[in-house]
Amino acid sequence: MLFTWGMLAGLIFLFLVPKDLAGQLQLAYARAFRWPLAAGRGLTLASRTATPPVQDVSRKDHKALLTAYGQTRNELANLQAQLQEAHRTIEQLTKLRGRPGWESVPLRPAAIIAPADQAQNELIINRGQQDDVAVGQFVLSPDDHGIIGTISDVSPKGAKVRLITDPASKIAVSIADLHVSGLMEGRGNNTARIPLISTKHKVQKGDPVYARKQPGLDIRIITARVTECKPDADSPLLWDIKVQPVCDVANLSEIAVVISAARLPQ
Amino acid sequence: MHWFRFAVLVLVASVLQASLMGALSIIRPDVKPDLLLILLVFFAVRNKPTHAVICSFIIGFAADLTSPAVGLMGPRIISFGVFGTLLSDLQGIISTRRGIYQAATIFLVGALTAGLSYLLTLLRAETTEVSLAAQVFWQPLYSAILGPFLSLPMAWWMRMNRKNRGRRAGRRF
Repeated sequence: MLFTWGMLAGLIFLFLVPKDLAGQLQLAYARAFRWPLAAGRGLTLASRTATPPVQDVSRKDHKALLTAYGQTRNELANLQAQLQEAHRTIEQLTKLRGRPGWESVPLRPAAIIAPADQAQNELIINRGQQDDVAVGQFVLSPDDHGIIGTISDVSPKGAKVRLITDPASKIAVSIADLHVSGLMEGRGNNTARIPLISTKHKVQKGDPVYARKQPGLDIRIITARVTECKPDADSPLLWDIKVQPVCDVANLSEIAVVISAARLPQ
Repeated sequence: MHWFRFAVLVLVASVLQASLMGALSIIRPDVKPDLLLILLVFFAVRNKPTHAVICSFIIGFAADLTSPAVGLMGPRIISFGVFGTLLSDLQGIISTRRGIYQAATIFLVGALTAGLSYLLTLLRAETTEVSLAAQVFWQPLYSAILGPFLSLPMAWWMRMNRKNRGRRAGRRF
């Protein structure tokens, strides 16, 4: 009798109970025991990840698939690195352009490949003629928002940056709010000087030194600060002004080139 | 028969079957031990016929609940019920004292229940995704290898110690 009832129940489930209802019953069971089921399946997945099963695939195909999988993973890693790089560039540009007056400054982010010389008076960057980089353009630090040098040499895919402290560097500058301009000359050892400034101008220690505007660059950008200001020993009517860059070039890994109209080095 | 213990055992076995048994799969993902089949054989050969029939259908119901075929219930209730009842009726003929006999019984019942379930499934669903060879041969074989080792803890849990049963029977008769 019990057997008959059991069979009847089985047949009802098989033929009369709609699929939806049977599915709901199974789902109700899965819902009621979701925690132990999830834990068990997690363990199962973990064990399968450790030793991935190979099913219905020949050894040769499996090897080819593994190779393709490795290549795809490498490509994915490269793409992720590129994406990260692009995000960082966007972030830098956003940070720079978010400052008042910088909205219209045409900037080209670049990475420092290597210092060109031992004294760290020059840098090599990964942007060149193909990126509209030209000799004479200003190069600045995205973090400190200060000019660190100018482009001194350019190739199709790279360029050389001459730092403001390089003895060969000469940049037209103005000091603080004084109506005075001069040429900032590099001296090496992370310093520069501004000669031929009359002592009638009130130059003080700590005054900012700005690079003069360029065609296409409508704002003044800080490049250094006065560290010492005393009358020149040979010409007492002139200041002997020593300055120091506002940016720590040694810790820089990325810079930005101001893509203005090219300027010949003075 | 301790029905509460039986319910706990069936629930635990069904949860383990649906979740953790995949970790023990070999060769292919569907070749894994069937705990509910082991339970079926255990209860069919160790219970009174009435209890064996009830247990077989209940275990079949649990097997259908955990079946990967969503929306299809019944094939295992029927197949487990039929072969569980048949096994219970053959208690006097089949000896399951030795592990090898237990294993052979599990394999045979597993193959038969899987075959019948497959046929019943075909009646309702036009195609099935399961591999017949895995269901009829490999899974019962795997269960048969594992089954004898599980019978001792199951007997302990269900308080179905043979010695006790013998003593009780001796007292009775």
